[in-house]
Amino acid sequence: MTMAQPGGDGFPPFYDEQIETLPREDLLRMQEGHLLQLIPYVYERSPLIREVWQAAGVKPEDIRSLEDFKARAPFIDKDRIRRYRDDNLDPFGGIKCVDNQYISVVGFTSGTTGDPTPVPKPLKYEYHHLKRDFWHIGVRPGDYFCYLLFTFSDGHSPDRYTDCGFRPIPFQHSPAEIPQFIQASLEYRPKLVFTISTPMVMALEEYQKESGVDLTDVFSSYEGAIFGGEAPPPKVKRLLDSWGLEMYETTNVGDVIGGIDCSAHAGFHTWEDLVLVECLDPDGDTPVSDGERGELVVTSLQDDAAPLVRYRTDDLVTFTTEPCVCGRTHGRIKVLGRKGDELIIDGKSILPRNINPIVDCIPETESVLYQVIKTSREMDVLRIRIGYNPKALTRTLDELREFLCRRIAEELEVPVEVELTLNAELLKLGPPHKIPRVTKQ
Amino acid sequence: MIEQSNFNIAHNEAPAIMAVGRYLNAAGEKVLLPYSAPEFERATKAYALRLGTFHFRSGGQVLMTSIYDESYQFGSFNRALGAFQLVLLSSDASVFDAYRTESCLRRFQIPAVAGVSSAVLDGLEELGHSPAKLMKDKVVWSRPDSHQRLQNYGTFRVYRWLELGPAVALECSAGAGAHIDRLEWKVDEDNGELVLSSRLPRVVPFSGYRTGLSGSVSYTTCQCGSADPRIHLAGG
Repeated sequence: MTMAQPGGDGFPPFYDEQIETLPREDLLRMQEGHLLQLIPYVYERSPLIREVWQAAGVKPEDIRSLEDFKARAPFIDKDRIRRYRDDNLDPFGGIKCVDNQYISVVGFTSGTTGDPTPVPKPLKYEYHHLKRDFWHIGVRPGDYFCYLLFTFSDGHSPDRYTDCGFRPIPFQHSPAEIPQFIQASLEYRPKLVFTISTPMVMALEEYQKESGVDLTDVFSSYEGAIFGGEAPPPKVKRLLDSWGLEMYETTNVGDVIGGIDCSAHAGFHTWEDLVLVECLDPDGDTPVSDGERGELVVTSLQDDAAPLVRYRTDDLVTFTTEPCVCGRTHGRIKVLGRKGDELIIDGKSILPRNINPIVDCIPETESVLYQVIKTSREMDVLRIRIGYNPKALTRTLDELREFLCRRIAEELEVPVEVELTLNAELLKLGPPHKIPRVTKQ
Repeated sequence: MIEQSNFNIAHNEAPAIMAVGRYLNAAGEKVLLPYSAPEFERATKAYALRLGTFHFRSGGQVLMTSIYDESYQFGSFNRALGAFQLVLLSSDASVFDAYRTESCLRRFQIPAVAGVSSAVLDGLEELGHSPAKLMKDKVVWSRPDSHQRLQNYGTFRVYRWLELGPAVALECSAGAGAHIDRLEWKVDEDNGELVLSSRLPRVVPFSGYRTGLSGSVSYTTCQCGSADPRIHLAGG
């Protein structure tokens, strides 16, 4: 684990030390400052926020402090934005606060749970969060990094990093691009790959077997690989380790920014100068204790194009404001799953990611391709469709099915039904980086 | 025709690399293409000249279908949109992202779509959508693999978006051939093949680069007023 030390490379240890190590009381003062400017601005310009606040009987002048905001501000969520969008034929769902001339790019959410939601970015949008995290991992001015985001959904901006001197090498996130990715790694000796996914790691393993390429050499210049798309299966971590790649993880902090874990690997830093993070009772509006499970609720603090205000993300997380050993002071979240994906089986809470470590240990299913079949939130039996690799079969399919049922039932202590299907069939269901983990059928 | 000189001869020092993209060689294979900030800036200005001929209203939205390794070719287009205060919407130029492409075309008032490929059309049709309806009356810049198919829909004007090795040629509103930046590239025909040489300092200079594309070049001034040469692919 790397601690914050003055860089041996002559560079400071932080991209923005002033902000990244801000004492908590200063951070809260900064949040309050941003928030008190934001609220009247958004109330005046965002039709959705005005509608929601008026319905709740709350006015901007009622908010005079961070505490007032947390006590009184009403919530919005994705369904509310979609409803406004459909009722008013407003593609931005009522959250846009500026004329189009002040927007550079409209990004989108993944669209996993419905029509992709637009995320407009202002002309002056800065990628501070990524620069801080890339720097922490070891990218410095003049260094290259491979940029393999999943789907092209927020424009091209190779000049996004020009100010800090990072040099991107963008690729399509596809196993078909692996020869190019390897060639670029050998020619330009990048420091980072952002991002990598289970299918890409599995394809790299296959490519290594077929071509004999030494991935340890290919990745010898790398300081890290940022994994995204889902919780990393244990096999992915083992493979990356075997190639000398330190794995970092990334997640969305409520569609406001991306969060990346640090070298302590103790949660995703949330960059609280950019986003106000609350962790609330998933079925209510009271905060849970530090480190307790709750729903992530976010407010954009420095976005004047389409700020989200008290946005319930549906993400179940734990949140701690304990300072991290990496030296940075911003709070960290750990992601548990999506509230909408949760199943109650025999009164027990099950999230799809609970299945990862079980199927990962079984040779036929170690690709960790599976779908939970959810017909309602509460069910009597946990039904799972699991992908298998036919080349790895060491028993009949009936024997494998029975074995999986027994193992999962023992581990999760709920009744289980398993349906087996070929890995290749499941991979057809999603974009290249992941498949939907929950399905209705 | 005015003989184009090669300014690059006078510049031995390669500019600093800003990013690494790719181009397609004559065999259609991807080749890494490091490029500099000045190259990116010049490509942006060349795109802005073409965009200016369409007189899109500022504040309008343009949909770009692309993939991430096209940062040189489309990143500069992305930035050129900003010169007209146009907003970029993006979707992956692939079959599986067709739901986002459709959502953008349905929900937003979009006057133009750039970079439409056969994969984009396949994806839309597989989902049961009609590209003819979704793109009706829009300006559509096609990639070569979708050009004829897009023209066959007959409900919108189709313009060329043409990659010639490391260069991009784009049609203006006159639709009379895809313009290539005359200051950046010297373009010739050699036995019917289009051949390129770079004229300004580039990280990777090109001299007599054979694109593998058959076509011809018009050097006369276009109806749009531009003196930039226009490329016509063989076969239309």
